[in-house]
Amino acid sequence: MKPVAFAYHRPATLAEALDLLSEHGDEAKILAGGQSLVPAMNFRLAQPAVLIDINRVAGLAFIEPGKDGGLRIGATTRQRAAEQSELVAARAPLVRLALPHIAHVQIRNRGTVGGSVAHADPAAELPAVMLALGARMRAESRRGSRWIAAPDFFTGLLSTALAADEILAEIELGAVPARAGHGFAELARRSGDYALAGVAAQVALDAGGRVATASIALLGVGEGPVLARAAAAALVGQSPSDELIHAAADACTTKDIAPHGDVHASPAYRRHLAGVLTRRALAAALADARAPGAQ
Amino acid sequence: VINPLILEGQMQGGVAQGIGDVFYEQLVYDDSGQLLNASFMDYLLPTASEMPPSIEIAHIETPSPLNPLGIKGAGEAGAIPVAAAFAQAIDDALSDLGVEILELPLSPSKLYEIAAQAGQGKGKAGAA
Repeated sequence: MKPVAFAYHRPATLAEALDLLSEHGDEAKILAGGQSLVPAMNFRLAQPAVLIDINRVAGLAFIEPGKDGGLRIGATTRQRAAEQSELVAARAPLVRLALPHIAHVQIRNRGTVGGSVAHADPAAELPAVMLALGARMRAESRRGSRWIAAPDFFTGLLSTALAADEILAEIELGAVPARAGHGFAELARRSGDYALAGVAAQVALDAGGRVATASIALLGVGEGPVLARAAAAALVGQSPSDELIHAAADACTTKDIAPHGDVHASPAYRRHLAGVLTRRALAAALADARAPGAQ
Repeated sequence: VINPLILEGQMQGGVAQGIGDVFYEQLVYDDSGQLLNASFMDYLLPTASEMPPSIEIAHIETPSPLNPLGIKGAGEAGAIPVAAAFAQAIDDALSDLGVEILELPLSPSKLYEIAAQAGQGKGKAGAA
């Protein structure tokens, strides 16, 4: 199918892009990698009157060290570039673990980190990862710049806290805690499909080997990425064990999520799957945290 | 075999179709008859990623008595047994649960449902 007619702009600077967005507002969509937007337009699920292509906007594609051991990722950084970045692997291991699960290499070559986050598909990997890691998003508009914390950023089905005149410019991650481990698990019906459910987990151990902090976010089981607060609370202060992992996964499936059904999976199956994947992600994260040489 | 290369391609394509039959291909309608998976975004076909890395093909050649050259078609042979073979293998793997596979396709969700029903003592009728 073909999209409905639209006007196309390709600004070279962020200021120019923001002017265009300020002028067109709700009528306009930002085109980054286009791996979600363009299919939606071809199916006519999305019918923006104006496309603002930010692929040639200077200064939005970067991977740089952040403050105090953190990491900054520019919005139009290609997913494949992040996947192959040693800085991402070192400073955001959970991002590195999740990236290969996004679709196929060809799609990651084009798809952007910021595009996935701003699109906020409930089954996408990066929104869940950013929620688990407590990322901050920098939104730019003609009115100025502001930072939005991940829990405030994701507001529901394909929706974010970005205003109609704002562009997501950058994602900032804090430093990985001491003695941290990471796990990511998802299940898709076919290789590269959107997952039926998935889990991103970061745990950190204290000097005594107990769980100091835990952060778990799920994809595919809600209107957006879902922070599993009850599961994390079940872990903190406890010594890692198989029983503990089971208890945390049970807390997740009974208290943290209310999955929907669709043509691919029933709510009951998604709940079951979320429990299995939470156990897998936590087992991997705890093993990672206890491994010699863990950060 | 008259053209081994073409026949091998037919067999491999048939296996792919069979994998689609077992795990993916299904038209899903809602109660009012609306097709819910009317595009290839939702109607799943097997892709190269879902195929086994290699398929070994052997032939047992039995000339047909029904024509002077003894020839017969072979194209569908690849597709026909695949669905039954996978279904029987899953059936066997889950026999401890009392699962009997009586319908296709088998999504993970469908298999979970069948196993859950079998586990509740509804047993073999659960899959019907």
